[in-house]
Order: sequence, then C-alpha cells, then structure tokens
Amino acid sequence: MKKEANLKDLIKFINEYVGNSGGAVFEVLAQSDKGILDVDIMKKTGLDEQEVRRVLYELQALGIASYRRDRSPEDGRFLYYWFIDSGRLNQILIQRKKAVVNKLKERLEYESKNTFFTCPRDGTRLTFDEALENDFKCPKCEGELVAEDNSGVKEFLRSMIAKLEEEIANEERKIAAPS
Amino acid sequence: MKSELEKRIFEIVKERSKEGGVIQSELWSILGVDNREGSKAVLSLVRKGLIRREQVVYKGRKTYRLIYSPEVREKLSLKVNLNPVMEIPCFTCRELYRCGLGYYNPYKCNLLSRYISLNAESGGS
Repeated sequence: MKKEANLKDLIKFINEYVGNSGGAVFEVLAQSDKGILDVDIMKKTGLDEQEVRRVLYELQALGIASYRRDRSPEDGRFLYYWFIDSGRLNQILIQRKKAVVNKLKERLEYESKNTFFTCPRDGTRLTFDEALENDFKCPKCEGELVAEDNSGVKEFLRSMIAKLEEEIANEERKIAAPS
Repeated sequence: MKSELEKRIFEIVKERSKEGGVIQSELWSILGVDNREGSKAVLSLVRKGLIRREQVVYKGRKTYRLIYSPEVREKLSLKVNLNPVMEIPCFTCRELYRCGLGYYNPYKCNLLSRYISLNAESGGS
C-alpha cells in the first residue's frame, strides 16, 4: 500500500522535474527487467525520438536511469539499453531530501538573524538594513513598512526540519538493512 | 536451448511453490538433465531474481531447495517517503544543488517564500 503511494509520488516528482512525458518513460523503464532500447520506449509510450532522448538524459542526470552499451551483432552500431538504477534510486532521493533540509536550515538561520519589515499593500519584504536604507518605505509603492512577526515562520521551519530529519534517519536505516 | 531449460525449471519451481519448493537434486531426475548443465541454469535464474535457493540436507547430501520468489520481481523497492518533502519547492527545483552559490539563494527565493508563508500562516503568526 505504502510502496504504491511512494511510487505514485515518485512519478509525480519526475513529471514535475522533467515534464509530463517523464512519468510515462519511467514506467516503461521500471517494467523492463534487463534494459530497453530507446526505440522500444518510443513504441511503448508513443512519444517521439527527441522527447524520449531528452527525458532519458534528464533521468540520467538525476541519477535515476542508466544505460548499458552493446554492439549490434548486425551492423556493429552501438545499442543503448536503458534501465532504472534501482539500487541508486533510494540513495538519490535521500540525498535530495537532505539537500532540501539544508536549504530549510539556511532559511531558518536567515529568519532568526534578521528582523523583517513588510509592506501591507503589496507584501514586499525587507530586512531591517534594507528597510533602513529605504527610510522604512516600500521601494515599490512608497507605502509605510510594518514590522513583521516571523515567529510562525520559524516555528514552521523548525518543525518541518525535525520531521524530515527523523524521516531521513529512519529511511537510511531501512536502506542499510538487507531486505 | 539454455534459456529453454531455464524456462522449464522456472515453470516447475513455480508449480511446486505451494509445496514449499523443489529439491534441486530431484529436479534433475524430473528434467533428465545432468547436474552441471542444470545448476548453471538455476544459478542464472537466481541471479535474475526469479527464484531463491536455500541450502538443505536431503538424503544425507547437501543440496538446495528452490523456491519461487514473486516478491523479488518487484525490484523497485522504494524506501523513501516523498509525501511532505515533495510539497517543498526545493525538492523539484532544478537549481537545488546550485542554490546559494550564485543567482539563487534560499533567503530571497520567491517560490520558497510563498510556500513558507502559505504554510506558516495556518500554523501561527
């Protein structure tokens, strides 16, 4: 059940990252056991050559897909068999998750170190120094800036970081354990 | 020829899965192949993850019990939960690994700011 949900989320992520044909290509790759030729991916997904290649290169850059090169027995051309690097997949996703946590931490530090002023009219947000430079007026609409209470923001960041770090620790344990 | 043998072995192991698998040495007599040829095919199937083998002692000799393992078929075992992290724009951002080094940074990023303000509002502030 949970695995299914994770897979759905992964496909959603791929669709968002490489575009809507990403999920379709990923599914075809996931079904093939020993690797599949790009020509066969085209047939199965109905996408054109350019699009399939683009998606494959993107997935490769992400580290999700990989290929095996073989010579064609007929004319000696190179054939590329694409497959999902399932061993690396979990690692890659964890790595990405960690990177996100780091970004949230950087943001939390920034939020903690600074006081912020916002424009109630257009929502422009400035740090204290920036606001001082502008005489506490909005640089866009000249409106009066108001001091912002960012305790909610910090609270949210802290809880999200804690949640993700706990998840990462659990998942790393699961990956290290032989299934 | 070789894959033909593999197919036959796989079929037999699959059929006998309810009985707890097949003893490898019995398999040779069923198929009428010799040990050398047969174990090559079995090893190949094990490597493909189609069957599993466990060492057992049968009639005083060490041999293997071959077991059909459908669970190995779904080789994509995702162990990473993407549900909350996917909503954070950084996760799907192409600049994730370049963020903070140049043009993009997590302090002034519009996408991240919008995400945080949307979620923090419901929590407090």
